[in-house]
Amino acid sequence: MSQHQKENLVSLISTLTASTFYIIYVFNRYFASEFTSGEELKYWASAILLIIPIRIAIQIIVYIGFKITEGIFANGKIVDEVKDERDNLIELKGDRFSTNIFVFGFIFAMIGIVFFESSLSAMFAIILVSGYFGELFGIFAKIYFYKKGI
Amino acid sequence: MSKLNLRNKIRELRFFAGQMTQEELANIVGVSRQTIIAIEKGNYSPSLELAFKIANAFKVEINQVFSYVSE
Repeated sequence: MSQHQKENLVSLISTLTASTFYIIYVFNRYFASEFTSGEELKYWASAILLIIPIRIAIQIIVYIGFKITEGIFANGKIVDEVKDERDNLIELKGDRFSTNIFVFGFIFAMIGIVFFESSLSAMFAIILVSGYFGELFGIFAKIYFYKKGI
Repeated sequence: MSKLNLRNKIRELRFFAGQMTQEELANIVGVSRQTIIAIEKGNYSPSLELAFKIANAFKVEINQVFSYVSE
């Protein structure tokens, strides 16, 4: 398994742990609280904003942990692989896949508002969940492309 | 993922270049060994620049390394 494949697996693990727990926490808190309309909007906005620093922090921690573990198992002899055109292409394809899923979720949320008069919370929940699945499937796509080729 | 129509003779050329390893070729052309493996297996179509670099590494013309097979 190449260095970049391992990094994608680490990224998958950190997304699964950090984002899953965060989303569960956000939904649990939402269902446990009673909001006025203004508070509800603020709650969802802050939930979406907070996911960014939380994910960055957890990704850094997991990545450092991965490097330390790798160093221990390789007796400190880690050769950093060059990131070449194939890696860049796989990354771009994975990101496109991820973006497509998020955009689909976003459009779905807008359709819900316009045609089915869904609530504001439903719109934010769909956006949050589509972002989560977009990221998850983006990583799966990268792992698949590394395994099967592009 | 379907196989590409691009065929290559990298493995053969490596053998005739003093049994050059994939790692050595990767270092010469500036990519990872995984990329060389993917090209050899036909799982990845290299860019024109990389294709020329590979041909230069073996000191042959590009069409002696890569060929296109139309189905």
